[in-house]
This record gives sequence, structure tokens and C-alpha cells, in this order.
Amino acid sequence: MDLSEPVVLKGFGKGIAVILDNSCDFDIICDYFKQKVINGKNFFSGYEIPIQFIGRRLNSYELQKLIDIMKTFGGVHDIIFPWDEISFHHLVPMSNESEEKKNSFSTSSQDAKIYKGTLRSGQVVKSDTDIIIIGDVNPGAEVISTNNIIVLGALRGVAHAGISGNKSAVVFALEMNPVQIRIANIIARAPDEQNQEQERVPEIAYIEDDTIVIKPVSQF
Amino acid sequence: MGEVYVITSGKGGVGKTTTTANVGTYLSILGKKVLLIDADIGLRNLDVVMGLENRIVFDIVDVVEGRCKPKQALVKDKRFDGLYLLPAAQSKDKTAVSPEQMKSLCDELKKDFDFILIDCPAGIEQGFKNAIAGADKAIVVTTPEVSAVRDADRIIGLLEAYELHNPKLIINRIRFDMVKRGDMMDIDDILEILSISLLGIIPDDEKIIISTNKGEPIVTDEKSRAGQEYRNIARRILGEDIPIINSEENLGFFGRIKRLFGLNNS
Repeated sequence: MDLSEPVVLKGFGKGIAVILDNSCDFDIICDYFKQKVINGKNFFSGYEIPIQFIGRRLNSYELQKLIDIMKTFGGVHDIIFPWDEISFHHLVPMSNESEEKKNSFSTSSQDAKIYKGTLRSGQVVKSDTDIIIIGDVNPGAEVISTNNIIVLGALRGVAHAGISGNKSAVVFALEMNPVQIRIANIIARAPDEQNQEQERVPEIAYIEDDTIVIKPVSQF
Repeated sequence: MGEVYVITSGKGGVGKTTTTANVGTYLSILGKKVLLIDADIGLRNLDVVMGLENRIVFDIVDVVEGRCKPKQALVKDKRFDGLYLLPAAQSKDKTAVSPEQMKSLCDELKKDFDFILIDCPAGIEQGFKNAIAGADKAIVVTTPEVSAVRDADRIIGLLEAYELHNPKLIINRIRFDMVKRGDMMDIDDILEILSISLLGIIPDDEKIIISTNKGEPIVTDEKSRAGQEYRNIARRILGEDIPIINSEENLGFFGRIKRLFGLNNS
């Protein structure tokens, strides 16, 4: 199983289990789910689909949105919840499936979330833990964390550390060339004139006297 | 109460965003209060072309979902007073906004602006429907290629169906030397098919690429021919009667000299 995917579809019995990541943004779930549904359109369409969403508690609005995605993009006529009397508030997780998921994702709040690969324009990684990106963050991509953000690559997009107000959060990147850096409620933007001659040294951004400063790591 | 223009084309890559940026910029240079709205949610570009990407905090999806007030999301231009941008969201898609939301947003914002220019995404799906929902008038951009003209024709039909009558046409990236050789569709061929009124003809100009990459609209370049024609288009929108010249003869110094000496054979 590809652990980096926030949405995994599995057939079991006559139905489908949809395993959802519990830690990422619901919008990301929607995007991935939509893609999965579109890719598997022929497989879905025309049937009454017995389905179970597991791994994440969904409120009625979220559940409705996922159902709408299946109807709109998958050509599904009807969705049934055979394992649970269509209660929108209480979704019983399937035992083995959810265990597997819990172990593999290990989303306890202390652990950093690691993302491997290039974050491209429009992609968002969001977590209430530290985030480590092993790869580049391109312009138009966003990394959002309650704590620190560490980019082992070039940061060219937007990084927002300490989103709930943690002013001691920092942003680190091997190559610091962001469109914007936000820490807590403070925003710093890139200068309008790009300095092409800039040395590529690892730099760190943090708050000092309520402004964001960026320094080479060696001077931190 | 301002006027809301949608700039649309059907086909991608014909110059909608460039047109929006340049016409909007020059309208603001002429003293109008102008808002540019990027309706291309998920593939936003207008902020980059305007050189304002690093100033974005909120976007149009934040506005319609109530995370901020419309005015908080407006990005003020770094060069010209009275020029603002409402950026698209990059991490969402077209379905994040509905035509009804777009319409009420435009209705609210046009109280504060003389002109709102909406940069429409390519295609005829929801993004297009969103972009035209709040518009009072439409500008169709095309290039002298059969595929672009075909798509423009389709778009004009759809605009009619959505009650946006009398759209104006901009023919972009024309090369008069190729037209003269018969290698490119000429203006009359295009107008015969589309039969809508012409707002301007933009000559192909490699400076556009440079200005786009720098995030500086080309209307600020006094020497650029494309910039000159964008300035004319802005003036025509304001009601000035500037003749559209369907050739390159008046455009260069040497052209004028040649004509003076009767050397121009066109």
C-alpha cells in the first residue's frame, strides 16, 4: 500500500472500503478521492455501491461532499452503507483495515510528518506536527504547519509555520527562495527584484522583534 | 457603479491573461479604478504576469467561503494606484466557486470600481460559467489560427446563450508580413466568420514574452507595438474613437519614411 496517499480504495466483499488519512486537510482528501473516482469511473458506474469510509471521522457535510463526488464524477446512481444504518455521525471503522492504517501512519502529534517528492503548484501539505519535505517546494505550492517546517530542497513556494500562533516556529530550507514565508500571524514576502547572484546556502527563517528574519544556518 | 468585462476565448494560450493585465493596467494609468479578477481557479497566472504573486494572502475561494472579506483579499498593485487584483486559489478547482457566488461578488465589488476585468479560464465548463456569471460585457480574444477562431465562434454562441450580447473581438498575435504573403488568416477572414465588432488588433511582439516573465505589463513600454495597441484598446473601451489600422505600415518609423517616398507597395 502506498502510504503517502491520503485516500486508498480497497475492495472487500461486494463493496468498497475507502481509507482516508486522518491527519491531512479535508480538501486534499476530496481532491484525491475525486481523482480516484475519475480513474475508476468504469468500475464504479451504474451500480449500487456498498461503501464504507474508514480511518477518519466525517461530519454530515463532509460525508455528503464525498457522496456528491462519487455521483458527479463516478456516475454512481446510489450509494448504500450496508454496514452502518446510514448514520451520518457515527461511522464504525473496519477492524483490521483501520489497525493497519493506524500503525503505518503513526500520526501521534509529536512525530513530524514527512513528505517525499517535489511539491508542485497547487499542492498543499498541512499538518499540526512538524513537517519535513524531502524535495523541492515549487511556486504555487504551500506547506502549512502548527510547528516547524523543514525543507530538504529548494523552498520556492509559500511556507506557513506556527499557524495557530506559535511564534517560536521556524522555517528551514537548503535553498531559501520563497514567494512568502509566514510564521504565526506575520508575513514576509520575497523582494520584487530577484537577486540572481544569491548564494545557495541553507537558511533559516524565524521571528525576531515581530519581524521575520532569514539567516544562513551558520549564523543562527 | 462600474462595468464588469469578462475576457474569454475558449482556446487556451491566445492571450486572455496578457490582455486582462495590460488593458486593466492602462485603464488605471488613465485614472480609472480597476479590479482584475483571476477566475482561473487551480491554474492561476494573472498574479504572476502582474508580478504580484508574493503579495497574495487571501484568494477568491477564501472570499466566497467567508474566510475573509472581499476587500481583504484584494492585492494592491505595486506600480499604479487604483489597480487591484483578486487572485484565484491555486490549491482548489473550478467547482470551489459557483456562478451565483461569482455574480454576487461582482455585484458587490463593482460599487467600488470603475472597471472590473475578469480573466476567464480556457474551456467552456464551470470555470467559464463562473467567469461570465457576473459580467456585463464580454471581450473575446482570438489569434489568426483556424482552431482559435473556431473556439472563439463557439464562445460567442455561448455568450449569446447566456445573454451576454455584442461581445467585442481582439485579434492577438497577428503577423502582418505573413498575412501579406498569404500564410496567415487575415483580419477580414476572421471577421467574416465571427461577425462581431473589432476592438483591436495586437501585432505579434516578442517583447510580450519578456514583459510577462518579468511581471511588468507591456503597456508601460512606450516603444512596444503591442503595448501601443493595448493602450488604444483601453482608450476605445473608454469611448475614444481611435481607428484600427489593419497593417503594419503606420507602426514603424521606416514604414512612414517609405510611404513618404512612395516606396511602400502595400
